[in-house]
Amino acid sequence: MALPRELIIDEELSALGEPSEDVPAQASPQAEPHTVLKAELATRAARLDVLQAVLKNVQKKGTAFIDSLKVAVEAGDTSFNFDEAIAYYEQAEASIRERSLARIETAKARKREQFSLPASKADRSKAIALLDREIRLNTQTLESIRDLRWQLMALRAGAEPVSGSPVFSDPRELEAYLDEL
Amino acid sequence: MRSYRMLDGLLRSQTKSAVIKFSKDPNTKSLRFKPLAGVGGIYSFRVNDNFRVLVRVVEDVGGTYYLLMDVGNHDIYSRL
Repeated sequence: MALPRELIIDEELSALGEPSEDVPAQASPQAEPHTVLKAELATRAARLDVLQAVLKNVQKKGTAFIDSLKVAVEAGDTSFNFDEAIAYYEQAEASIRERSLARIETAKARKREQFSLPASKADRSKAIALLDREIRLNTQTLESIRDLRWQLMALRAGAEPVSGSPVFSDPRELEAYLDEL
Repeated sequence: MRSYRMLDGLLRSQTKSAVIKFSKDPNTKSLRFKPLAGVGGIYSFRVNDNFRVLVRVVEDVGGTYYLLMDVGNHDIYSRL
């Protein structure tokens, strides 16, 4: 069974995977270093705006779908394939994890470098604020996908029939049961 | 409990230890037992920094039952 369209985030993940810093600055090659830096900062800020909007869309459509799924599950609908959706989000998180964590590390390193680069105080502050924003964006991307997966796991846990499950009142019995699994 | 069988050695042993601790006292501070926002009756407790167990709490005439539903990765990316 195919996943609902609202849950598929391949295009967004691909967009979020594009680097925010490797964008050519909109200044001529003959421009002053200060002007080039300003242009670079503006270009990176615009790029981060786009990525932020993409992330917001992932969060918005994921949350809207989960809300409607909650209503359907509470009404007794058992048609949704939780296993497939959870596996998809697990895979999505894994696919961007390494890249996003590497970007966070790079941004942190670049933040430290800013203090030794020749730039005005204002430009340095802007550059640091942009790097902070990039760190937050990458962190939020990973956490948003993780949280959508956990929401699905929680809904599945709430929807599963549990009658007939083993019940333990003695921790030693529980331990023996876990050893057998 | 879903996924428990798939856990490898150390993680499996950490999960078992956390589950036993939970069965003795769900309010053990280190477990950080808490409700999951937005889904009624579903809670989680901590196995380690990156893993949590999902619990369904059911009340009936016999008392309160804690159903161990799942265990999964829950990385705290802001701390990595």
